[in-house]
Amino acid sequence: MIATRIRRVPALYIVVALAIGSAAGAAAQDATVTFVDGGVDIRTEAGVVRRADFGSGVNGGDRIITDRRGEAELDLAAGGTVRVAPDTVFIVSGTPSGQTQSRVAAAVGSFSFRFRAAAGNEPRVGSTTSVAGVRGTELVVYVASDGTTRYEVIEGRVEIDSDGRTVALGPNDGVEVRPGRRPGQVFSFLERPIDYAVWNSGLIDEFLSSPVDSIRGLAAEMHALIDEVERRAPQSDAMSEEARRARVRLDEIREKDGDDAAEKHFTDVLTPLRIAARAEFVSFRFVVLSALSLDQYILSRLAAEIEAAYFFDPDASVLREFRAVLNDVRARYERIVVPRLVPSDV
Amino acid sequence: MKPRMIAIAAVAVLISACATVPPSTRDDRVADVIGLLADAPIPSVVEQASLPFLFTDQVVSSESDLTAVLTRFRSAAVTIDPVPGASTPAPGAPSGSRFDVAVFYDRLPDDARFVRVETGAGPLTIIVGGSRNRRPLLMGILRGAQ
Repeated sequence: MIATRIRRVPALYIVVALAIGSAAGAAAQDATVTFVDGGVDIRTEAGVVRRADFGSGVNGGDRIITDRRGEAELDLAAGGTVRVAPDTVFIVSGTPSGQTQSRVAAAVGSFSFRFRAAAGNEPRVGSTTSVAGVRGTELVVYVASDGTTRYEVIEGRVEIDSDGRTVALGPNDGVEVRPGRRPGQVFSFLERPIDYAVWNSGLIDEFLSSPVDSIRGLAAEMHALIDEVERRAPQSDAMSEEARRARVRLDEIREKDGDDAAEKHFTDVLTPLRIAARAEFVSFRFVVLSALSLDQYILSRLAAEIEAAYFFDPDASVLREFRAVLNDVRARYERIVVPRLVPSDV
Repeated sequence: MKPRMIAIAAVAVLISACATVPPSTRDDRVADVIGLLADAPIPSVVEQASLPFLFTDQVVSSESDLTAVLTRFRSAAVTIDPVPGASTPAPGAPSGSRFDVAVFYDRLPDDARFVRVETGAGPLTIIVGGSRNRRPLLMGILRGAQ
């Protein structure tokens, strides 16, 4: 074996983005932890992992990770309460600003969401492979280890778009969405209650019965996320760079024109740029984290399961086909998403 | 110096030497871990494992995922010989590794080792390192002899 070094990430991008993040983020948190039980960690956008506690602040781009006995409740600054169930990886996006709409999603596991602010400002809710628009809603979202997302609406209305089909749900309605497929039939979830572990295990068994079809659906979802990272990266980079230049200009103005002119530049130019760049960065980071989480918690898990099932038969044709699809999408992920990550993200 | 003092000093040196020998380099401790992998209840194996865990070339990140993967591995596996085979210091990540795999190798402790394990269907390699309950942690399972 030959030792290899971890590829260097574009350090300037990360440093500038985090500087903007910490500057603007210090002013307001995007969520606050209001309840904790068991093991709950917050993995911050800077890659630091800290134990969640009552009153802990959570910023857009952070992930809440609960262990098998951990649970947490968050108050979102955008309005709404989220209860994160055990064994869940939950991603927080920022407070809506300008063109950005806040989003809440689980990479795997489950959470319940209750919106309690003024209508019209609801976040998008879902998983890394499915997203729903909500209106005055209380709902529960389950995300299985194969990426299947199940929505159960308790109050209000939910609309889910997937693969060209829109499904509308009302109170007591439920639906399951498989990765890369249209939403299934709407059903009354009260008549089909689930135990998450049993449901998840059944879906993994189904995956193993047709792994190549399943990985194709997941690859399509990952390609869509990579497309979004590719499309939004220039805008996010440009806004970060603009804020950085405005900060450099602040020193130049202070030197040349004095404190009053610098104060005016700070208030009129630098602060709005920082806020806008922060909102763009957090929104973009949510997409990057979604791709990372899809790889880390869904693709890797499924790949490990099938590698385990065929551990002593590594040349099985089904395993070869599975790897071909997975390696293809991962090659693109490594090229486009990974340069946006730092080692402490994983 | 009295013979009794010399004996006490020798025992003290021996004890301190044992305390600084990493469990991953001690065959008896590694054999304990292989024994767990062979036939202990899966929760006991997970208890002695570390996260993230490398399974073939996939990085498993959560306890529940590792439980599922080891359960699947156990159902596919054949008899595992509990006697450790050749052991070497863990190398760096293979050339061309993905990001998550490279990070995994980068974080391995200094005492991490690759240990060859014989099974009824051919060899496999386990990665052991660190320590818990005086035994090395199980950090990964790789196909074949590495």
